[in-house]
Amino acid sequence: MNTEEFVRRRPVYLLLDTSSSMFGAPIQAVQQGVHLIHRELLNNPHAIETVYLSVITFDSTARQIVQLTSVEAFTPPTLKAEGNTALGAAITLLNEALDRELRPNVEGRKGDYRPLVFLLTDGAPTDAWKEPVAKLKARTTHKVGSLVALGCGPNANVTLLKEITNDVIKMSDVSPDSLQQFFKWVSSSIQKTSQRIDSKTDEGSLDALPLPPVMKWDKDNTST
Amino acid sequence: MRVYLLVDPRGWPAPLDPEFVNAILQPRLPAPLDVIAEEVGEAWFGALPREEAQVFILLTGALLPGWQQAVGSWLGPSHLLYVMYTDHLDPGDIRLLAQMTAMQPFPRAPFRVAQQNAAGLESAMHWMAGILQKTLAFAPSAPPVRTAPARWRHLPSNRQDAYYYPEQYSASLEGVAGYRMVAASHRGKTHAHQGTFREDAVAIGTTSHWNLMAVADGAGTAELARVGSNTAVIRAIEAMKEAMPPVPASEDVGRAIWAGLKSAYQALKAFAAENNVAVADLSTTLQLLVHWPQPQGCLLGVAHIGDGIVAAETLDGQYYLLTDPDTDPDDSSRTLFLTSGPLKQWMERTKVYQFDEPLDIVALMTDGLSGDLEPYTELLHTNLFEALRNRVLCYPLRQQEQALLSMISYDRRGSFDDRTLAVLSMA
Repeated sequence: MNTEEFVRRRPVYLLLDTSSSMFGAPIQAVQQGVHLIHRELLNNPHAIETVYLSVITFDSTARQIVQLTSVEAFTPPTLKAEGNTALGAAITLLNEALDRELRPNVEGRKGDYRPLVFLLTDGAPTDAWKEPVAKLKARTTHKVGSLVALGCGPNANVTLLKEITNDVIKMSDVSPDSLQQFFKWVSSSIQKTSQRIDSKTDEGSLDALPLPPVMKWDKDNTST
Repeated sequence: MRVYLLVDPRGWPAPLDPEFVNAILQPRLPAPLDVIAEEVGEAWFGALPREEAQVFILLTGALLPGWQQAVGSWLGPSHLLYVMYTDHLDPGDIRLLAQMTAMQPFPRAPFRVAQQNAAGLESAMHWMAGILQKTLAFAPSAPPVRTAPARWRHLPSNRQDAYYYPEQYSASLEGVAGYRMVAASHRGKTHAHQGTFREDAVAIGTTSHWNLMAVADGAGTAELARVGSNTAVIRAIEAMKEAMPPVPASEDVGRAIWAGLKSAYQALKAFAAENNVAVADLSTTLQLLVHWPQPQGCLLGVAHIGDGIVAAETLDGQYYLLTDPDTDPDDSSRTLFLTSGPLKQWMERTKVYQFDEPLDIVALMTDGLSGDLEPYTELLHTNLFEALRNRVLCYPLRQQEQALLSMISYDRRGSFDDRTLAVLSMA
């Protein structure tokens, strides 16, 4: 029926802390977590057709190491742990990526779905983060659909993460097992987002209404 | 052919162990390689191996006289030399080395190690690994394990279910005043993949004056959505039929739509009460149409709760969207359902239009179809109305059902939903 393929995408941004404190087992667990998300999404034909993944890492600086990519074209990146925790720079990069990569609603055609953002950090930011976060919250286009922050390990600052989003998960250790649980959960939340949301029911009174009037069809109003 | 890595550490700013350099090399190779790593001094050209060998040499100090003769007589088909050098060397010597080694198989110009630190060594070893991969036949490395992307499944829905509805449905009917109706409903990819039921529903009907159509889309989150949608369309059509008095007046069109809404609404409430299920389990959208052809033009009654569209086109190719669907611009998966508001709210929405020219086609459809027709300004005419004329309405009524089913069962990336289309057309 329609050969022109315009697909509404479900963008997913993974913001991963690759500071030096993640060195060793934690960074490997995160690496495996990204593999796990990718594998599970590849196993879901819905996700293959709609989900697009991007990875932003932050250590002393922030980098978008994978641009927004379809699940099939995505290659899990190799992560290295070194440097500080430039969370603010990562949020700034996210803001830029949302502006650059997402397709807006244009007249008569809906753009991409609202993006999902997952943020993983084991420490406190070492750069200015308040302004980029305020910018992210004040967005009028491509608003973030949901932002979940995982604070893992003893040094994660949950109070601070709560200023970024209401959805904060606290994990006391940075063990590979618990990180894997988190990535499993991320993967299943991505897959669930295409569900239809029921709206509230509200039973009202059935008073007598005036009959609908017969209206003259006004061509100029809604025509081609 | 043996591989030698000779290191002259004299000019390097820090101690330089050949084995350390070798350790930088190894991870850059496709497989571990036995490399003879040795330190050499200023008389390195006298220490070149006699056996067949590829020699990689890192030179960090000025060359002693006499090297030319020694290297020149050593070089040959079984003695290959690749040079890495720092800026301690005389550029003239480098040029000469380049000329002498240019004749050997896999010639490479000497490599300048610009930074005398770990980064410099890394880039030098990267260069060396690149040459070794050309000169030595490494076994190809095992291909990385890649997960094959999953395919869509086509699982049947459970025929034994108490509320079974077939995966495809179609109907057609001769209407009044030379109009015909054809309708089809197709199970989408999501339900086929999960082996669950089609949740869209459609019903058509006719009275002595009116053509009637109803389309519904059961909510994906509702357990008995298929019961909700099917009950709603069937009961609405019945009620709209009964609502026509023997001699209808124009306001009876609005009354009929109300009767249809009310009957569908109450049927869902009653079903929920009798079967002890939540009304929300029957959530469904609903589109109702009463079409009354007039000597010129027609009267059209419509009600629309939820998403999808109701569109009409005149013979001259003008199209109209007859209703305002309930869609959340930010989240298309959110919409309203027949039971999510008071009946009164839906009754207030009922519209009755009078058209002065006859409508050629009126189409009711669920969002599984209308979503693929955006933007309407570009696609509605060509991909819906023209496609209907060319691929469906040109056939005798009996064959239109099958043609309509095949028209709406196309495959498209990102389009997962059930699709349902009810079409009223001038014969």
